Amino acid sequence: MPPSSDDHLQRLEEIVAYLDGELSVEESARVEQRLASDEEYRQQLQSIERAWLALDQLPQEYVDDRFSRTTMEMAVKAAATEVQERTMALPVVQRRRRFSSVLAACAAAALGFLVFRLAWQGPDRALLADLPVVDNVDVYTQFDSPEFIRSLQQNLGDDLHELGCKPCQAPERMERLKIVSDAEGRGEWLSQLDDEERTNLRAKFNRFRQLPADEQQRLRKLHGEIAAEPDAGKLQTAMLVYADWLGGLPPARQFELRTMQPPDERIRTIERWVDEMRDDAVLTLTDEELRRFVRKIREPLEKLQRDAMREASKSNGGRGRNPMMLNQIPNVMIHRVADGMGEPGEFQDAVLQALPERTHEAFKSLEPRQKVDRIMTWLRQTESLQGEVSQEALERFFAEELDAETRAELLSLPSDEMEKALRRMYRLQPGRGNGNPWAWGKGERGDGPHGRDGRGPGFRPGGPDDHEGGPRGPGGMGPGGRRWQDGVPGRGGPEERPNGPPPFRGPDGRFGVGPRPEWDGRGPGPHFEGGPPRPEDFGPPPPAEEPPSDEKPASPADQESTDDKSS
Amino acid sequence: MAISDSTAERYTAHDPDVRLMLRVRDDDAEAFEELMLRYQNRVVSLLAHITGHRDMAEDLAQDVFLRIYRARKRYIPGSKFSTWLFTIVHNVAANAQRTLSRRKEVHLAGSSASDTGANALDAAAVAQSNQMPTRQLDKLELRDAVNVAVASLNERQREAVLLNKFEHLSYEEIAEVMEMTPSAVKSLLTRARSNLRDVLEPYLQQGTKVE
Repeated sequence: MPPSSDDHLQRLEEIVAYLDGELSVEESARVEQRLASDEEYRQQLQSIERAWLALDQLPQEYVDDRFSRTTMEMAVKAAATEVQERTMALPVVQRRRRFSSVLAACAAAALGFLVFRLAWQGPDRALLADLPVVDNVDVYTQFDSPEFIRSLQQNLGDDLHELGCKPCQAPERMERLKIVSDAEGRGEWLSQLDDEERTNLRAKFNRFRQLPADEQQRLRKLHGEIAAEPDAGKLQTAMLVYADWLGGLPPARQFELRTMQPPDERIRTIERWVDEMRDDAVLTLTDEELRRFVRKIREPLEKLQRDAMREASKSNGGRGRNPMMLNQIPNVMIHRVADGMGEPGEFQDAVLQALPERTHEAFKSLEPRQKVDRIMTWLRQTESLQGEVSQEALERFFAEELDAETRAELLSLPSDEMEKALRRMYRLQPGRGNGNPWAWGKGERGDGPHGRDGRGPGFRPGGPDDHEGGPRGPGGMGPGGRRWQDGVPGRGGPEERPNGPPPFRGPDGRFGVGPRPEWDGRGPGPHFEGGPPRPEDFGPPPPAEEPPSDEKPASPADQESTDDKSS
Repeated sequence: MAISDSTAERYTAHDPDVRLMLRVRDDDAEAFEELMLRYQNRVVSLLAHITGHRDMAEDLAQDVFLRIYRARKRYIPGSKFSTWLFTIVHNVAANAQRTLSRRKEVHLAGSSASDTGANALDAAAVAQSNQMPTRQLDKLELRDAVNVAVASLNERQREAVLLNKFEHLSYEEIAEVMEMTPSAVKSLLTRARSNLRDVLEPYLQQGTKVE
């Protein structure tokens, strides 16, 4: 006889209560006995449990520092109102007569309010005591020992300084570190901070307090050890410059470096990335160079296209234009670039002639595929110089050139942030995943992503809400989300942002730039398919001479403003 | 209901958040800030999922913390701090739902494209889905399916599920928060889990898209 609906409900209740641990020992034993013998009952339990586990996918929301700041402001205001109301509630005569007792009556609230306000707005002892560590919590969490910093300084020397100092936050932070390290002068320095600086410091203090106690202790010790070294100044400068440089890297690459062991390997990797970034910087063209490049490359590119179509037509038995052939331009380009080394008139020579001489060596040193990537990037950048990137081009770029994980990360953003990020990526796209503080830090193009503190690139979904501070230390920010993170892989990991959405990264830890889907040479290239800017995409050929300055495209600042409006 | 001294002492001894709240009662701003930092993301998440409005969840969460601040002087530890906090969350959410109902603006959680950040580019991603690794595809689709399933619950079921699943509240605690009896919570959760299973099972079994 089939079970009645009451029986069915009762059975479900029993299963659910069992799964929730709400049954007594005897009841649980009965359920377990039945599970062992009743297949249908077991399947029912499993299906209920499967659906329950799937809820782990429900996203957790995060708030930023503004939330706690504004809530505290509201609480302070509420406290002030409380005091006022208590005073007003007393009759006027009584207020006069018992003035002193009114004060006494309000003392608890008033004192509480004052303590409240002072604790929030003013220096407290804990903050003062740990000020140098708190103010540099993002920096100290990057290091295990003074030895690593020394090794960094000795191995990279000027290279790192050069990288870190475009733009350079380090001297300013070094000056600040000196001040906050002076126990006598800290209080005064703190009292002179404006509201925004105070809020930023408060956020760092909260971050520091949420580290485990032993990690806090380790950072204090590290600060003390570095300060005690005879060459403390050099070490601290190297430390800050490194942190500055690191803060410009995509979050995944920061994480990769933080966790890389042994330290020698870490140093070697840093050296390699520094070299790559130097090449990338050399290969970054100014607006003027981009225009010249596209003017000179137009004809070879059109020839390339014609050749490609001719070849396709041949292979197609002369049955007319193969619509896919346009998609194979990069394919053909790779062969031309690879084959044309040193042969006058070949495509590579045309490219070299179109490029400024300072870039030749760096360009020649690239792999053929990297060369094509670079050319496509210049073409895209030129396109964006000519005005607004079309929605269609953006969608094509999103759908066809980005890898699946990058797309998924973009889709996880609010739509306006997503489009902004996508526009930045459309123009940025080159390089080997390091970002390029030189190119974007200089602000020449003015439309690049501004990393934290305006230090170069590195996509920050948090954008303007992301307060001052460099790379986050391991461990993220603590208790806020732990319940929601139970059983959710990937959440709360070492690179988890404390507030706002999770960091953006490609599958190999690169930001947005790759790796592209593997291309086996068969058929149209997966990421250029129908996608790259084509010669005809650039409108009529530009005049041979430079246009008068008043006819030039919008300034970088205008460009950014246009982008912002459109997004 | 009067709370005995022994109950208050027991919760004070065992729950660090109760001790923090007692410091808040004594006008300790640091303690208030710490409590807020501990719970802010959880409260906002809960409110966002209960109401289905991420944009209003932060305002509601601020209201929750302000109510805690205003009620500090009357605070007596009669339960875990989190249970007390979620009772306030429940009240704030219920008020908000009433307001929303009056305005006939009720949206189901996760059902609004603007809430989920969906836009025209989603279509491009779907078009490209054959290039996506299965793992990633599964994860995104599963998230969608879960959003739909949670949105399909009624408000009380949704709240009970969230408190049980993510805040690990017992039936008794949920009953206290939602002003119900524990046996009513048991029935509520049973129906909720059965509904979730019905919506999600086709997807979990065969990858059938949840509508």
